[in-house]
Amino acid sequence: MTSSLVGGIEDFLAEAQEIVDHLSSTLLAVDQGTKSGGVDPDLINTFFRHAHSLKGLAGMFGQTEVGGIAHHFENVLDALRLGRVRLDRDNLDLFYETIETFHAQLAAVAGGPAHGRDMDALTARLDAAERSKAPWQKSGLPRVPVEPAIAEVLSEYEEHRLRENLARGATLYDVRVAYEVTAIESGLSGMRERLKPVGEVIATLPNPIPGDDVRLEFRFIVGSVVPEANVAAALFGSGAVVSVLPLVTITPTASAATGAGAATEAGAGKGAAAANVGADPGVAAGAASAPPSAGDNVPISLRSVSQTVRVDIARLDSLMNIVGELVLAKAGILRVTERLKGEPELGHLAVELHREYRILDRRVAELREGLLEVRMVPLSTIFDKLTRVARSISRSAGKSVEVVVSGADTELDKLIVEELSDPLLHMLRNSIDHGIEAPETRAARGKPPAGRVELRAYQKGNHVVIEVADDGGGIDPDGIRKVALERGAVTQTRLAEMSARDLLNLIFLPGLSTKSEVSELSGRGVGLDVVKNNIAKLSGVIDIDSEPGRGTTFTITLPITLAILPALIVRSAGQVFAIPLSSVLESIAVDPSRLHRLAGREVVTLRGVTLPILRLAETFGFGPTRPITSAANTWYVVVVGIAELRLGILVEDLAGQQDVIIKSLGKMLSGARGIAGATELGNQEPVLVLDVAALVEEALRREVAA
Amino acid sequence: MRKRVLVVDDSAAMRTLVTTTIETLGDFAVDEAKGGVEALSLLNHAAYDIILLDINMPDLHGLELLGFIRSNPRNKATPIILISTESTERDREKGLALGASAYVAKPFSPEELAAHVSRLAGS
Repeated sequence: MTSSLVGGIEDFLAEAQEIVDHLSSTLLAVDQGTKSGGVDPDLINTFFRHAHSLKGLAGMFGQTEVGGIAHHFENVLDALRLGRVRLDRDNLDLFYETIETFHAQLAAVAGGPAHGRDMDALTARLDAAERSKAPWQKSGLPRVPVEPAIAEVLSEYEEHRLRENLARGATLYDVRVAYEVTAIESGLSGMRERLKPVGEVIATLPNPIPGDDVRLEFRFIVGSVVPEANVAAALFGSGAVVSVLPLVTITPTASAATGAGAATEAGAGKGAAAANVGADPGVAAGAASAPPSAGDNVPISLRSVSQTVRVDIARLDSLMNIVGELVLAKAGILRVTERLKGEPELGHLAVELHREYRILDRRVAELREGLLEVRMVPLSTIFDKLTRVARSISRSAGKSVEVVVSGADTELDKLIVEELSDPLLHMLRNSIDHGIEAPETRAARGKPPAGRVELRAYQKGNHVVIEVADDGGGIDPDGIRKVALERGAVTQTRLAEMSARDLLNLIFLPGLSTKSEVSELSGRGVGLDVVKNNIAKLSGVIDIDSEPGRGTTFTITLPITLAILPALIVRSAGQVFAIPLSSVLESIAVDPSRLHRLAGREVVTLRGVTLPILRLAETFGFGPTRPITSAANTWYVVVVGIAELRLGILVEDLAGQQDVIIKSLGKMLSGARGIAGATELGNQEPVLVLDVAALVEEALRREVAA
Repeated sequence: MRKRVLVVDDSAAMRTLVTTTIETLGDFAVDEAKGGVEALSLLNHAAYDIILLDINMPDLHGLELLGFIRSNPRNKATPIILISTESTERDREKGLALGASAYVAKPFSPEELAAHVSRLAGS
């Protein structure tokens, strides 16, 4: 190739870097998908396409080393998207490593040091992954059972998706809509968005409209399990016309006849028969009753090696709901028992019933614990991913950073772990991008050249604590003061009386942590306030500690599970509330005379410590706290705390302790601050569960604003 | 008369490369489309003498675009060169079955591409 025809190496690097970044983010999304129980096939296809583009690009620019790895990578991903290679942990790890290799290669091409990685070993592993694919016959892959005009323009991948959809019993819909030429792009993306909840868009076929120069017709071939009327309803007003795409019977070609013939006999009805034709080897194995002929590459046993079962977390949730109802029924039995005890002639029955009740109680508790255990996953699932990403972040930042992990075996509810990866990634980015200094600065400060970021996790009572600590430059208090004043977040007077800790906490306010110059690494515009909100949604609290010149530590405190929790039941203004026991420190009877006001805030002094007071009834607008009527009556202060923060919640009565299952309030009330959800007690009355983290935060925010 | 050529590829670097190759051949006016959708509107308004089409594109697949070109009177007979990597073999076969005139596998030498273009342009 004449080099004059090829653009400069900068052209290659710019585009290759972009593709490799896409590969990285797609892989993260794919990994995420495997953990939450399903990967969008579209995502896998995107992944494949990026590898494909990289290979083409590298080839054109004579970058044989990048091209070579990309070539093998693409082959594995091609087999993956066609359902012939499994998406398991080993392969995911291999993909991460491959992408890291691309980063290293590009850095070397850009004039950096040679990467010194073993290309032959990686190539061999990629080949091995590809060779693990299910056997199939290259020739004689039958046509897909749709009209020829569609079948002949479908790509191999689209054919595969079409078969997969038929195999899972989906109906194929033909959605037709016309767009003006100038509005195609917005029309297509709008329609794809509307079709997403309906099913999978397998192909998009453009068609000219005879005699119409201004418009083009598009046919979306959609696989969906939703009835036709619902598809039509979902597209109402879009101008689209929906019909069921008829399946056509394919006469098996000679080479495919053996396998497909058996399937056609076995399958009943036109849809089923057609669907089986040309299904993947894995799918067809179940349907084909003929014994495999000698020489076929058929596995000896169909029994799975794995002893694990993947379960949709929604199923665990519904089981947990049933346990919740058992707990309610149990409470009902206990009430009946108590009533029986009061009947003189039924007293012995009450004793017997109570014994049975205790057995039931124990078993329900075991069942609940067992179910909770199933939901627990070790933090290593995200820590591993984070360390890998950290490596590539530090590389792009031109910094050398060592990531040290401890406590990765600490377990947390799967749902919490899922929601944690984004905030943790953001904090990690923050640490590497803004925390760790450039190598020269570190040298000048007498620090080792490589920065250090620690990810630590440990259990503390009913909570899990996660720390992200760096040995970087720390946060400059003057910088915070300046920005906070500039943005009008606090007044000069308030600023003057703030403690060092309060000052640091200001960086969690919206707009405060956004650097003036846009950093490519920490994202654009997403500040620590978003991280804080994400953590708060998990009933967690984030805290920061920083020493200029020495480093910064973020501490996240989270409940172990959100599914079930022991709670303190309280009453105020006739309403019943549940306060998660994990955040209750103590409850104290107080004489109203001990409440007083300090700087406009109601407070109570307990053992020499002044505590802000929150009146529950007033906070949620249920009217005033009921006055004390008799001298014997007292109010109660429930002292709650999250991290170092304390708050006294004033209630009229304590009604005891009970396990509750939090149910979401639905969309209407999901934004209500201070309410985590609702639950029922034994008497079937709905009870609001307090979100202590939000209440504490709200109370302290008022304090800051005051 | 200048021959009109359309280059459809989602990679900017590839488009530049292909366009440069063609322009060094002589009197060609090259239009570039960075994806299937952009190509559709160009194809609906102009008649081309040669179309170079990448198979794997994110918005519309090359085969579907090919099907469109073949059913649209304006460019029904225009010679089409498919460009893709060799791994998508079945797609290549289908493309040729749909009436593509030539297939060039990435990475290709500019000479190979130039030879196809010259032949199809009849020069």
